[in-house]
Amino acid sequence: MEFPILSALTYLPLVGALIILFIPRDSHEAIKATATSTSALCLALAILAWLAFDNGAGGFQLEERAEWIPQIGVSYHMGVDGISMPMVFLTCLVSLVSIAYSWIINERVKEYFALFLLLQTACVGVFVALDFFLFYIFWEISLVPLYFIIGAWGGPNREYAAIKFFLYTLVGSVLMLLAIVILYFASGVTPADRTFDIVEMIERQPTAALAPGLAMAVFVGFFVAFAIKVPCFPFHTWLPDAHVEAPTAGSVILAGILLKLGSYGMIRINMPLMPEQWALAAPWIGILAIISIIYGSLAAMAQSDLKKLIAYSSIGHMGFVTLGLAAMNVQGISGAVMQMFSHGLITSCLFLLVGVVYERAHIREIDGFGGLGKITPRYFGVFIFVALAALGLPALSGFVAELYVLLGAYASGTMNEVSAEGLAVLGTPWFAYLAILGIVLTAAYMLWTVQRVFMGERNEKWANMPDINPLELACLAPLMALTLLVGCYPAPLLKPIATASMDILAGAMGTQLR
Amino acid sequence: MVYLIPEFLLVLVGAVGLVIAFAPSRPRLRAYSLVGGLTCFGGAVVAGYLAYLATTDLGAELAATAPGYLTTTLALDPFSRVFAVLSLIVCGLTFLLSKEYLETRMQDHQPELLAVIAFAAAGMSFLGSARELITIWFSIELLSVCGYVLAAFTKDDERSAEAALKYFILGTASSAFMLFGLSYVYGMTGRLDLVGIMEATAGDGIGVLLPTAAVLMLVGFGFKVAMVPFHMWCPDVYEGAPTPVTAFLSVGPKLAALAALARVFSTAFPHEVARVAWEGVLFWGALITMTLGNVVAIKQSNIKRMLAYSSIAHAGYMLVAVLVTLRSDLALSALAIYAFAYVFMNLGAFAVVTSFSNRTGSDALHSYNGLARRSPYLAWAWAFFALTLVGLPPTAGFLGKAYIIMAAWDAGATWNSPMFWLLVVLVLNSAISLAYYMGVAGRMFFKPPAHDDPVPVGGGVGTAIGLCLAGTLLMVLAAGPIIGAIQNGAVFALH
Amino acid sequence: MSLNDIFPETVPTGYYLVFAALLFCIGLFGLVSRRNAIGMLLSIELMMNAVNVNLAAFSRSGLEVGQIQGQLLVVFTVTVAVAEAAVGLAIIVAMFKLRKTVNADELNLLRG
Repeated sequence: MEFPILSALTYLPLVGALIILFIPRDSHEAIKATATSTSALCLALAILAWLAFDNGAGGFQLEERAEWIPQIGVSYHMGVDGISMPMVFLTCLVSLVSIAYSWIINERVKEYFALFLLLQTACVGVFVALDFFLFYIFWEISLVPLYFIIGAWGGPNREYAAIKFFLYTLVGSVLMLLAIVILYFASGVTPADRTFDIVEMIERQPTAALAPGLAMAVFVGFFVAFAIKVPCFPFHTWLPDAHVEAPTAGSVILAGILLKLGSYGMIRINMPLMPEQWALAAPWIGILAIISIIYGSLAAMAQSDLKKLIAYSSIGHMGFVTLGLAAMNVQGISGAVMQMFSHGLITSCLFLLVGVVYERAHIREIDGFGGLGKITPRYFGVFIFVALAALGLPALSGFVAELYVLLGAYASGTMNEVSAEGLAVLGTPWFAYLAILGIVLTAAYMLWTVQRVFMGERNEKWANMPDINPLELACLAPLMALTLLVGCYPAPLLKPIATASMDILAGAMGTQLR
Repeated sequence: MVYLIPEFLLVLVGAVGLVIAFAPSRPRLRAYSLVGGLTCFGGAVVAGYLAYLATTDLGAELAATAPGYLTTTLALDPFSRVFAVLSLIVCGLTFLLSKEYLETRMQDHQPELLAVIAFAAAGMSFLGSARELITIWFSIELLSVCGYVLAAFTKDDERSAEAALKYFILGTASSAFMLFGLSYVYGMTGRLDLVGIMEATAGDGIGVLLPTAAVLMLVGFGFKVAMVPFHMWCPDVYEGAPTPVTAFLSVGPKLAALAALARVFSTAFPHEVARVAWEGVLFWGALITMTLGNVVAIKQSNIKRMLAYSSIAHAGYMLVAVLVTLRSDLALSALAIYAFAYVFMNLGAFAVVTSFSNRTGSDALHSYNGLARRSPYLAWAWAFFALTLVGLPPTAGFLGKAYIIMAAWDAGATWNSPMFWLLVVLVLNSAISLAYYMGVAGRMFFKPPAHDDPVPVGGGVGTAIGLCLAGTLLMVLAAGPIIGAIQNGAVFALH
Repeated sequence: MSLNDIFPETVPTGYYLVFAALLFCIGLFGLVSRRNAIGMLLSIELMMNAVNVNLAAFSRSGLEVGQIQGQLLVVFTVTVAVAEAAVGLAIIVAMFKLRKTVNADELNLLRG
């Protein structure tokens, strides 16, 4: 039997969390060291797994399968394809970064690090699960630690933000549970025939057997659950609250990974399992994506709180992911996944940078700063780099991703043709044009922010602000290096993603594209 | 006769309790609660084996040799033995979580309380297997009368007495309703055994009175289950009764009545007219019960009242499983699995409440502020049970809810059918329930405590919490064999 | 006019049923309108007795000859009702000792 590397990757953080439970409450150093080394080990495992993964082969690899509840066709089934492999790697990287950054935490350390490791288990689990039961379990577990992290270590309004986050996402996921059960009963005629296995279901295409109304209801059940998580307009209102109140590392994980669970769900479940419904809904999803992009950017521009600004910019950037998916072609899907990866890197950096300045100043008002560029030159340099990455400067990862999304949206059959008939106003490639407007807006608010914080008149209040320190730099460096690497040489990342995207489309169309 | 070992054990434990109530010295309580609890858990293993036996050929032979007076009154089917397992577990856990309360809060009559709980658990077990109306009614009365006594047990406490009086008046009135319906069923069919009633009502010519009688009986069951609108007693009784008794009342009578409800109505009234009536009542009953329970629970300021409304909501979920007993093979499995999950998670939650009120004497929600700093074990245990009660994975509560949804969908729900919308309401309800369960967890973790005194956890109640935690987790992690056993056992013998 | 005309040998079952239904309704009305706990207990006993009349009547006019289950159940009902009343009265006595009242309207310690 092969070494079950995905299970190891998933449960290693959980083991770390259990070890932490047995470390005395007051030995902070030991707890932090345990958490960091566990997470580092996970990253090493993730890299090993990626090395063992054949980027060009397609299909699910490193699969593990075992019986679990045979009475109702539930199995323990894990595996990764070219889309989940980069996401698993991203999860381990961002988790390690946020745990390392959390060395500054000194309050209720034990619970904090145990919860972070639990969160890592849940997120990796969602990306590797190939059985609906398993997927749903990890999906729901991911809510719990973040609820406690926001509520216990957050800002002044944390309780409200925590329960709002939990309630919003739970409403979505209970509807998903209902949809899963409906799919289960459509997957076979006799009880012995039915299955919760996602791969098996994609082969059987159970939605084809459902009445059109019910199939659409199932689609909406899944889509709303994922759209709340992404978050896609109009389901986004929990996000700014959660981000503003969450501690820095919590925000990093939330924006860097948890939002990706939503778009990953759309790719893994909605598109291949309900392709007809997806094609039908594509123009509407595209419209929601465009609204998210433009609304997110405009709202970001209007913010005075730095963290809220970045939260809204996340809504805009995730809109590109949804847009790429709505395009439903290889460029669109590949671009969407690239954007997930790239946004995970960039937004983590941005939230870390906000955390850096908040640690020192204890305010986040953009207008409260000014002329920081001279006081903290290294911080300024890093911020400029990340801001340029966020606005999609060529040679950085955001550019590649957004370019692919735009190409996809431009060439999309599902979106543009249907919209040309149904919505006369939006002619053929209008989705792409509007998305470009979003990029322009992003550039505008990013540069404006840089100008207001770093340029202009020097605010004497912060004259003694220390520059970015080695720990913070060490947290940021790998993320920035990857941003640059992916931007200059995207092929190694693009290859598995494009292969897997073709697989998804092939599964959806019932044809072989490769 | 071996089938009745669980019931014999429970009665024996109760009888021993009454005897040693006369023994002098204090250690008697410790010994009794320990030995009694262990006997119950041992009995649960035996009952589990019996449940397995009942599904085999050997079991069928044994059942065939059982005396007639036994088989006509008690169904010796797997389901009844699965239910015996449940009764024994409930009794054992209640023993464990009562000990500390009895030591700190009561001066005398401590063993008697445990003995009465054992008798009530016996009634619960009988009710799960009764297949004849006299026996069913008798089991209900055994359970109820024990319940009245238990609610009144701290007889110097005005609240306890008031709770008991309310419970008694409404309980006996509902018994009268049930008996009144029962007498008409008897008059129309001339039979009292469920199968006989089913046979007698098979043809035409049964008047409009039969659905009326069925609904009258449903009123009686609805009271025991705390189905809206017969739920009014529930919060008052739960608040006033001693906390371990509340823990028992919130699972014992409720689950037993649900099991009997499923058996009586699916066995005796499967034919058109009566069936339409009781299924209709149950549909709306389930829908309103779960919604009202969850919505009203949000506004409570006493944790016992809050848990009372939450238990009303859970009864609503389980009524969905009862509603589809005739339509889906999964319904009884769903009911049994949810019942097991409910025992572990609800008794676990009440164990936390008992442990806390033993030390602080308070049940007010605000006294739970900052508990995470005063007793991390209790706070995390509550957080865990709260998540289970909401139905979040990977816990038994999730499994139970998933099974109920599956059973209801299996019952032939289609797009835009009433059942579809019932399920939508059900899942949205579990989201609503998050607000109050996690609201308490939020108090424990996010609010500062009034003072920093630690809240130590007693051995018995700590063990009970641990067992409940293990139970809720194991039901999912080792789901294959456990669910398999329950699902094999969730079968009614119809003849 | 013979005695048999005034007291027919068999009173039709319907008469018993109407009587029992009335008795049940009287009991129910008493339960709802009475505020004294003992009065409520007595009303419930009336309801129970209505059931007993029903059962006895049905047992006599049963579909099968020699059907005694109904009478059997009457005996059980009476017994259990007595047990219930004993517990109930004990609770009422405890209540009276503590509060000096058994009026249901004054039972207001437990409110949400």
